[in-house]
Amino acid sequence: MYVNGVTLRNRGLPDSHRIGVYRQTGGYGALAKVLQGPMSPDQIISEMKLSALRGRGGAGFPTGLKWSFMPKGVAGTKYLLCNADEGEPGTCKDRDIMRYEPHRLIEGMIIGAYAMGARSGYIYIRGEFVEPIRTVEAAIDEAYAAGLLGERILGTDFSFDLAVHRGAGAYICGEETALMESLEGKKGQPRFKPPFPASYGLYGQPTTINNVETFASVPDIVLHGGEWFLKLGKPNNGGTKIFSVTGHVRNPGNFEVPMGTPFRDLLGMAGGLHPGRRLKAVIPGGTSTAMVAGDAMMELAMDYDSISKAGSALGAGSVIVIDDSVCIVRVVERIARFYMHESCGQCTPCREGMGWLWRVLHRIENGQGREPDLDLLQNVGSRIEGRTICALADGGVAPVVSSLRLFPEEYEHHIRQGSCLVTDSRSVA
Amino acid sequence: MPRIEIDGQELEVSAGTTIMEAATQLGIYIPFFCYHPKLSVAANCRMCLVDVEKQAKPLPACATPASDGMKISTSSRRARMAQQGVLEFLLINHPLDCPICDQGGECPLQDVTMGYANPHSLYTEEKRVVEDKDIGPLIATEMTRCIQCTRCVRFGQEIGGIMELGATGRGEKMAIGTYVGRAVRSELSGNMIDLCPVGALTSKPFRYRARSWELKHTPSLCPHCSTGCSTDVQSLGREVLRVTPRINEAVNEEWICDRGRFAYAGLGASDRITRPLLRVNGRLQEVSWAEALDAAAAGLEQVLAENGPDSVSGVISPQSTNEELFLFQGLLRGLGVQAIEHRLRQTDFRADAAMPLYPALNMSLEHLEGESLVFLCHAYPREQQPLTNHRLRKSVLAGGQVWAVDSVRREFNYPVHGLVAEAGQDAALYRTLARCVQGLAEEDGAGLPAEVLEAACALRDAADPLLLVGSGVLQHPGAAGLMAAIAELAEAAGARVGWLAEAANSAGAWLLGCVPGRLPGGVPAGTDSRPPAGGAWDARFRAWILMGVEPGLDAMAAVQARQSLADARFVLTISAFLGEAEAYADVVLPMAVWAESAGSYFNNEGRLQSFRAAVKASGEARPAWKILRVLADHLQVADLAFDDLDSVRSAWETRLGDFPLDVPAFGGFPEGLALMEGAGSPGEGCRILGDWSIYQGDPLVRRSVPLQQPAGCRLHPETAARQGLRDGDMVELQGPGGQGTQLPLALDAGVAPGAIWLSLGHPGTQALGGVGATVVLARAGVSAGAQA
Repeated sequence: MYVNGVTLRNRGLPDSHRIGVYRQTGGYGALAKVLQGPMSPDQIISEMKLSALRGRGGAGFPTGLKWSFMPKGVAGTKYLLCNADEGEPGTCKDRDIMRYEPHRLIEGMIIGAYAMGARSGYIYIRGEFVEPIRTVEAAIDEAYAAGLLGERILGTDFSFDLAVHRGAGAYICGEETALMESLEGKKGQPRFKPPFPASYGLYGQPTTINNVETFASVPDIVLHGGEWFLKLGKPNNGGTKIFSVTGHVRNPGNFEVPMGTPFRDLLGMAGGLHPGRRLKAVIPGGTSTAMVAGDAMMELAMDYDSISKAGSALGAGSVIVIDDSVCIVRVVERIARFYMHESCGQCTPCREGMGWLWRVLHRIENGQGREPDLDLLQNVGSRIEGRTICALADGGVAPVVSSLRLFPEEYEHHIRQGSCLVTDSRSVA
Repeated sequence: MPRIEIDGQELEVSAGTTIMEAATQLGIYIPFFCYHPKLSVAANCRMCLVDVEKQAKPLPACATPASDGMKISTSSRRARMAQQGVLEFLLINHPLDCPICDQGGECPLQDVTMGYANPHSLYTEEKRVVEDKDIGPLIATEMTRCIQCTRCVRFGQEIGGIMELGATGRGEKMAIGTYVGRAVRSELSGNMIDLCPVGALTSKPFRYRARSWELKHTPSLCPHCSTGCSTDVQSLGREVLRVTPRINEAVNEEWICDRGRFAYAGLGASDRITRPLLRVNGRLQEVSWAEALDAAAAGLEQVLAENGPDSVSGVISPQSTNEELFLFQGLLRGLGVQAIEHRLRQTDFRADAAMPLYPALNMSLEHLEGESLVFLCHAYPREQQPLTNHRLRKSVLAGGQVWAVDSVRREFNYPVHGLVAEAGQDAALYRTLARCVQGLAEEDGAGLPAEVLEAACALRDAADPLLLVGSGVLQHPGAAGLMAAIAELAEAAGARVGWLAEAANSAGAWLLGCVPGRLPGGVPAGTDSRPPAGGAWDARFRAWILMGVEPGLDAMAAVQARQSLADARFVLTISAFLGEAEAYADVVLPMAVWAESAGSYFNNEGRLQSFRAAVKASGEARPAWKILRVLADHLQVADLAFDDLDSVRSAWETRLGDFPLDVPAFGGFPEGLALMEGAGSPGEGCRILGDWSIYQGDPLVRRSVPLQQPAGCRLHPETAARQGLRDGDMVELQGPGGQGTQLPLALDAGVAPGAIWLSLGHPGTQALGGVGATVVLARAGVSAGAQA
């Protein structure tokens, strides 16, 4: 199996973040191929399309298609942004790429900029990532010094500038248009779409934004071809994907595996469950995706289409494993609090609804639930879903609604007995 | 051209039209809160969600462009569910305190709730409470009611031009407020009250005074500047309780400034006169109208008989209506009096012959938006004509350029290139510009500041520049020379020239003959009717008829005016407020103020607009036109026996006849006109610069308590350092006549070195001698503001 073979290939090497090590392992070879080969922007984009690389930030939008949306021959600067505001609870994959493979990200961005005619780029990194920020900044300096960034890259007519922008810790700034607002110095709030970033992005200019892992996949696609990447994974789900496996496993961590790897195998790589525990549920793509029951999950393959068919989403690949030692109500209450806290406050249903959901869940968790509360949660959730500018609210509703469907008995026990089905000892009257 | 269908009605719309706009065209109502046609689309309230065929989710009508073949339902089950859902969310944390909320009865949230809400909420948790903010004396806040629509925030950014309110906090903690506890100071701030769709922002002066449905609405006109905004005067019984804008796209769109909105609070001032007053044994006493009119006629007749008509001076406020202006000059001319004046702030009348028929903008307000290069000549429309200024702001946002040439750097709410004259070198600056534009200064241009050359280049290269002449020109001690220099510049640059008239009806005052030397229609009155050197306050006069003015505060030559009035044999004051008249008036006739009277104005464009009374006059006060007409009877002046206001209007319309709206901005200047710049060093003192602030310019607005701001002075940091003064000091100022006053000092690099900027129109600053005079400064401690 092709494990940790693409974006985290150098993770184990000493000084893997330095340009020397990256070059020794073939780094910047793809850029040389593109610029000196030369490959035309259209050729790159068609390889990207062929690779079936889908956006690794969570939405899974085909990257090649996104790149082809960038308009040609427009006046003014076109921007290329990297979304490194990795904030989805449970995900920590971009952090490892930035710590160990910053040049792979930079090379991917330079190739993207060349393919789309972007002159300026920013990597928007979440503020808490102090070490990755330093690493990426140092890597950008190295790339400038090596003539890989700035004016006339590798002696060609192509120029591209790249800088790091540090976020300030808001989950919502991982939403692409909120990220652009934040980058412009405004309050991080998503924009209504249309217009889409490809026509009206950063500073109103055509902009493409991709996730760290997406960009880091680009050099290998260019070097080995889209066909090669596609075949690493499954049709329509090309390549490999990093899964951040957390929760009740013995060996949590980032595992880069081919798309379509059975969940069972991934769980094994993470050391499996603790002895004597049973798999209750899995959140397969980060807290904003619906829960899947443990038994069903054990039969699923880890790719966009399979997880989607099971009623959830692959998201950013943050797999949260939940065993039978915890109460689902407690888990969901905590998740709901997160979305209440991280709502930007712009759209009415999210601003008002997230707090409502949490308050009801909080009551239930604390033994003060009422019989109609389960209907109420469904009802409130249904009024939030699909009624807001961005997907944050939908993400906040998904765990609530899915857990109500999968584990009604746990909620009912809380409401009827005023105590928890799982931890009887932790009775709350 | 997309064809769409809304609720079964088909419509073809232009590309880019939103569903909301299309629905409006069809007369279909879609509920909304955050949407406003004059503001950017935020799409945050989600109230306007509609059901669009083949779309997975309901879409916001305000932000979704109509595309061909779209089938939209505003009332399908899915649309209704979405609207109900959003409304429920809006209401869960809304206090529902409608019975004690000023917005009750005119509240979109209340209205939409009646139409779209579920009668019972499912919400049983605690409601949110948001701390109130004190954002100044005009806007009351009740932020718990806020529904976070951000209309007020967008207004500040997009219309007001300064972002004073913003949203802090996220999620349900998102709250609207000023940053770091500041007050809202924009001159357009009151519009946020109208925009707020709930009772979060309400009018502080109006708060708890009445319920909206009790108010009588009278369409009216704002009497405070030459823009002439359309207003709605709202009253209960005899009291005006609120003024709001009326939509008039050609003039004020749908905004008014805070002066127009809140000046009414001065109507109830404690010195409002409600009965005629007569000076008996040195003290003013209330008397009957008959007694007062007899005394007025007798007093005037005595002076006329003993000193002749050239000893009488008539001064009328340029806020007066056309009818009042026409009758005033008719009465005085009927008595043989030639000295008729409305120009309180002007002291240099040498170029009267060069004045236009009336101070005309020479274009429409709407066209200002399309200007590409505007030179403001000693004009500060932001405070003087805020809604005219808004048009200029739009021209800049659309890519135009505005330059401001002035004796001080003013603060605009859009990017302006400023050009500040050295102290006392105003006309010289225009002349230099004119020379540069003509290219005569190539060889001596080296010594000129870069910004002067840049300004000249901008003028030279512009296709069709516009100069706007502001009231700062007329207020200058060398106004005639300044005008001549501006005329030279206009000629050199091939620029069009428009005037920004000083007061609400300056245009009417010129057109209807309230200037010496011109009869109604601008007909010359004869050669011997030029104003004397001292203008309306010349020592040759022995009696005055004053109408609607307070010379001690309104006149540039206030010191002289006070002295002359104190020495006068007879002073007749027709006024709504007693004020300083207590010191000098022999007879005071109480007149109705603007909201109590009817009449018409010409605005800056020459647009004739009329208004009617909203409330009855206070006490025995009478409309000024009736007072003038009765005085004419008592003084046996013929031809003014009008029975109603309409006949006065027909009379002046006949006299005025047709006149062109666009007029030459300048006539001929006298030969050998000296610049009279008062150049040279003012010695140890500082040369006075200054202006009446937006809230100090007329008797009504200066009595509006919530609008008042204290007087102050500003110095260039270098000047202050030389005088040993610091920011926040209390400064003792000594005028030429030895009069003194104390003012708090602020440092401002936009004031020319050697000059001092004063806020005029305050008793203290008016005692110092006006613009161009010299004051001596001394430190007198620390101001209260700086101590705090």
